[in-house]
Formats: sequence, structure tokens, C-alpha cells
Amino acid sequence: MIVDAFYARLSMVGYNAFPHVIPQEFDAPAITYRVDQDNAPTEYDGTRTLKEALVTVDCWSTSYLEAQQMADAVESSFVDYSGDLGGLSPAVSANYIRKERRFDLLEQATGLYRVSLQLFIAYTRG
Amino acid sequence: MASELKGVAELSAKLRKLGPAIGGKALRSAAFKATTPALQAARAAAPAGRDEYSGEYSDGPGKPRRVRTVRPYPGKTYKGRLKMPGYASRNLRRVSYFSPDRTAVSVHLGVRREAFYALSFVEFGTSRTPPRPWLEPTWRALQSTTLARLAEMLRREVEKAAR
Repeated sequence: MIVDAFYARLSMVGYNAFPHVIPQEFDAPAITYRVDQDNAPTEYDGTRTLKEALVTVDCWSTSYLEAQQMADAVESSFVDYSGDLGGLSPAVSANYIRKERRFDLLEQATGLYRVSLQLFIAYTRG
Repeated sequence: MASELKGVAELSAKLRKLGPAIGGKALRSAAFKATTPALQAARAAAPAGRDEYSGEYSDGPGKPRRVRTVRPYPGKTYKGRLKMPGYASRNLRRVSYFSPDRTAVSVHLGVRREAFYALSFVEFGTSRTPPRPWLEPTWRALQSTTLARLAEMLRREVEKAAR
């Protein structure tokens, strides 16, 4: 599981971060995240320790500019970054991080802007 | 995507030799045929409502909950068209775009505007409801199949056009 390490990393960005949804008692600005995929390819000729995960981070704000700035902050926290992902034990070490996509949407019912980032992370644990 | 396939460069060169009119048409035809399994799988995976929902519902805040059967359909789209269960699935479409010189084509798979909720609300979720991705996992699962089919279809189209 990469989710705990990723949470630890996101909380360093400086906004409230929650899995999947913003709880009712919290308001934007906030970050939600989810793991879309987390697996190790099945190989029978040897144990592979490198795992691959797809993680989506959504930055929510009532201001479009702030939502973009939050996404920029998340992105820049991963620029030139490799190694221990969240300061956890056993350590989660990111070997490779790539941005898969970035887009923005307006949620009309709540008036919240969302900037969605999807990151591909290859990592090892332990 | 095409660059990940072996032999695609050679096939593309052959297509270019056929000229933009024939080559472009063959390219688009191959791309459409290659994405057919992905379209079918996406149709099967698309979120669909039910005709009836049974459960405990309340008429409003403070009012007692009671077991009822609710028939939410037919609903309406934002344009006022009737919307029955499976509307998103029926409105899945592929759209192709040519590059200006007609030597490259991209095929987009998605829902029509009136079924936007299947992507905006279900696939990506909202701030208060968790996402239930259906299109992207389907595409990822079929990516290698699609690539293999693209190579095969390109080969067939080149042979057909060269005849």
C-alpha cells in the first residue's frame, strides 16, 4: 500500500488532505486523493520488489486560481523527487514519478473548482 | 501509442506512399476497428441505473422513514430528452481527428454531452461522493489488446489499399 506514504507526503503541502471525499465537517480548500491502481506485475522467474501505482490528487477550492496554485504546489513537491516518500517505517521509496494527466473542472452544485492530477509512481517498500 | 508497436513505422510509411486521401482513410479505419473491443467493454462497464429502487426513504427532514419503492425514471437530460437506465452506455461514442496533413489520427472514446454525468460525477466523483472509475480501468485493461489489433488492422488496410 502506498496510500499512507502518499498521505504523509501530501500533508507536507499545507492543505487538509482526505481520502476520496471532503468530509461534511470540512470545507475547501482541501485535497482529496485516491489510489487508482497499485500492483506489482506478476513475474515467475524472480520476485519483483518494484511496485507501480497510479494515484489521483484532486485540489478543491472556491477560487479557480487557488485550485491551480494548490495543484502546482503538489506538482512541485514531486519535482526532482525520489527516495523516501513519507518518512514511514518501513520506508516507501519512490524510484520514478511521472505526471499522467492534469485537468480542471467546475463543480456547479457546490461552486468548487477542482484541479485533478494523476501521478504514476514506481516504488519499493521495506 | 502507435510508436510502442513494432513495424508501425514501416506500415505508416507505406500508408504515406498511398497518398493522404487513401492513407488517411485507411489509418482512420484501422484505428476505429482497433478500438472496437474497448468500446464494447466500456459499454458493458458504463454505469446504469435501475427502473426501481426499494429501500427506506423519508419524505423530508424529521419525517418517519418507511419502506418504499421509488421509480426515478424516466429522468431527463439537461436538454429535456428522456433518459432511461443505460443512457450513458448508449451514448458512448468514438470520435476521430486527423492531423492537418492527414498522416496521423487520434480516436477519442467518451460519452456525448448529455451523458456528462457518467464521467463528471461517476468516473471522477465529486467533492462529496467518491469516484467510481469505469472508463479508464476498462481502457487500461484493453490497451495492449487495442495496440495489437491496431497493428493487425493497419496491415490489413495497407494490403487492401495497395491492391
